[in-house]
Amino acid sequence: MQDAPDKEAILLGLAKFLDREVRPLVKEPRAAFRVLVGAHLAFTAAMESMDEDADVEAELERLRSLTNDTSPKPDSRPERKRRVVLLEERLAARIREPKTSKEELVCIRDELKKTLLAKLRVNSPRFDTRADIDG
Amino acid sequence: MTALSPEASSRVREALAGDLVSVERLAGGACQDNFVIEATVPADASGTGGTRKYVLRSDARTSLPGSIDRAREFAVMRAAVAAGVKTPEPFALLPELFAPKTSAYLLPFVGGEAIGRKIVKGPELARARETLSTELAREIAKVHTVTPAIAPAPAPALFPAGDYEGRSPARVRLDTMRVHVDGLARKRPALEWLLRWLDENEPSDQHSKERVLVHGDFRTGNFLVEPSGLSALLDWEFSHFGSPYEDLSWISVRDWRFGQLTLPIGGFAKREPFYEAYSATSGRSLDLGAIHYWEILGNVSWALGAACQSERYTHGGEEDLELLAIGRRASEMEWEAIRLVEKGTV
Repeated sequence: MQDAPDKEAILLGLAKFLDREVRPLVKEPRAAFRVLVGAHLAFTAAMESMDEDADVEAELERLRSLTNDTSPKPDSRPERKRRVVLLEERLAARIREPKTSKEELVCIRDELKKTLLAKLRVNSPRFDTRADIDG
Repeated sequence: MTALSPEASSRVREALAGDLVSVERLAGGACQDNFVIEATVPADASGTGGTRKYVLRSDARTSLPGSIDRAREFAVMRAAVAAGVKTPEPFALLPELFAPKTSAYLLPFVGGEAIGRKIVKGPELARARETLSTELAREIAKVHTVTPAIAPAPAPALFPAGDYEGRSPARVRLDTMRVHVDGLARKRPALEWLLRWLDENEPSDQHSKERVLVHGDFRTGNFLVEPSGLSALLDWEFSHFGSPYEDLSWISVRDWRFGQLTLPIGGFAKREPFYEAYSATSGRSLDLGAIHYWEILGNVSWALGAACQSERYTHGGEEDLELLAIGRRASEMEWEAIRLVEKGTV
């Protein structure tokens, strides 16, 4: 385990540096936009890191349930992430399978929405997830 | 004036029958390189000569799936101009101006604003926004008058007949998306779910089955607006023969509203005046259920595009920061598509 600051603090510091100190110095619009993109990516990585264990755990549980995965749960975070990728493939195959019923697809959709909400919370925290955004 | 080689400058001078004053390279798209050229030209039939601005548009080294090259774009734009569409008329197709197997062409420079957030919110364009949706509806209706049967050569070759045989425009899009979904290095169950929904809910109305010239990227950001109104449609690189609903729904895809979510036509207008003006001009009676379907398809297509672009970085060796960032946005479009499915209407 490293000393303070932790990686989240470092990434947030990098994001602020790029946005507040570098971007105002870049006059060429395209380059300034790319600095903003870089700041956003550093911020996203920090946000992801903060809740990563809980998010991966929740995603793994959803996928295990949707794919009837009964194999032993992986211990380490890298193994859990590999299992998530594997179960995503299985779930995609189940969705594509013609015998998967409409009722099953509705259940799957409800779980996919939970996954999307978790992703959006990290990647696009200002994205409006209300059902009626058209007004 | 270092943007063009001496040989390229000479060919452009010859095409313009004038002298080049300046050449400025613009920030390029993924599929093309653009230059703004100022040239002194002799008086034409109308008696106007002097210094004029042009755009030189050339194939880039890379292209995106579904995009056409500049030679085809040249043909499409000329067909659109012939149909009365407000778009700059290209002239002087210049094969191999910069590299073998590429083309470039010239077109007059047209002024106006293309930046999305300025179009939807800029105070200087407030008056233009009052009539913009009806102007656009009329223009896109003119685009949709071009059919494979009447398009001048080589436009019919834009979409080889073999690609369509026995398939509806929606089926062609779904088959293409299926190839790209299967090609993703990491599976996306949400995209898989949405593809299945699209597969099982294909609309049967007549205009979903129709084949007309489709702009293919008809959205805020791809047309120019001046305080007096619409000045031109641009960026025809995704044009093809397909359903008119492709254009009529793409303009409402959430990302192209630039944050103005309650104004579904491009972030600057409500739906009804746009659809009414389109129907009045085209004679087509629009089916809101079909628009709902095609808007979901548009969101899915953009989600898939974002995922594919990201993999150009992670698996394709293209180290462009923006490609890295766009992949994390795919969930926005997936969410929006599922929201529309649940809502059941636009």
